Amino acid sequence: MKPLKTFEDLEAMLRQWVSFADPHLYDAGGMVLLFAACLDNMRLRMLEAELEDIDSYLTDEQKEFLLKLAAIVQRAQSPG
Amino acid sequence: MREDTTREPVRSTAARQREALESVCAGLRPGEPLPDQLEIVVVGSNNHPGNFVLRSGIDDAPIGLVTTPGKSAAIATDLTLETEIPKMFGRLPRGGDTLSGAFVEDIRAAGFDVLFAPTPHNPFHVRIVAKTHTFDAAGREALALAFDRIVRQR
Repeated sequence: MKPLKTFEDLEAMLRQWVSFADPHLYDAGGMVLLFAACLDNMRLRMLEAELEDIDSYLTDEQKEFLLKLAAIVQRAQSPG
Repeated sequence: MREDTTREPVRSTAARQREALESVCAGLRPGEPLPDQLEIVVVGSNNHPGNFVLRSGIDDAPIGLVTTPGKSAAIATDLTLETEIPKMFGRLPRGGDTLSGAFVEDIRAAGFDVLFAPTPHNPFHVRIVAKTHTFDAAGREALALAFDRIVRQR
């Protein structure tokens, strides 16, 4: 793993991340845990006004995927 | 093949299991099929055939001498999340992680083979490859049935 020196290094590393140990074995649960860490960071630090602006940072593909995740979470929480 | 059941983890010490498996691995050469009696593990629910869809860029990337695409797994050591997750992913087990296991014999009966594909980070790495079945919907269904759920972290 290359040392992270810039914001772009961190962003690129996360985009290509497979696993902390084995590049041939994708750690899906681990990626969800990293996403959850980002969610916690945003929940605890971002101002309501800043949340209002998140739309402008996301591509159409990312928005579509976020809605898909939200639907899966909602379905899992529904009784029955 | 077995039904979707939850098994108790093997209770022997991780060190003893690791020692025993290292001797098994020492007798194996990269690219060789695993013996029938070995057990392998994957992280994920056993009853989700969709977990066996091949992932482009990872599951089709050559691992040393193993160039056939397939799904990655690891030779089981003690069937506990505390041992198997760090071995495969280099992190501690967390809530939501599920460990499933299968004997190589059952995977062969499902129409697949298991090749030894160690990596510098994971000497227990194996790859499940197509044999008489492919990773299409029917093949994934058969493969999922070969796995038992071992344990889920709460």
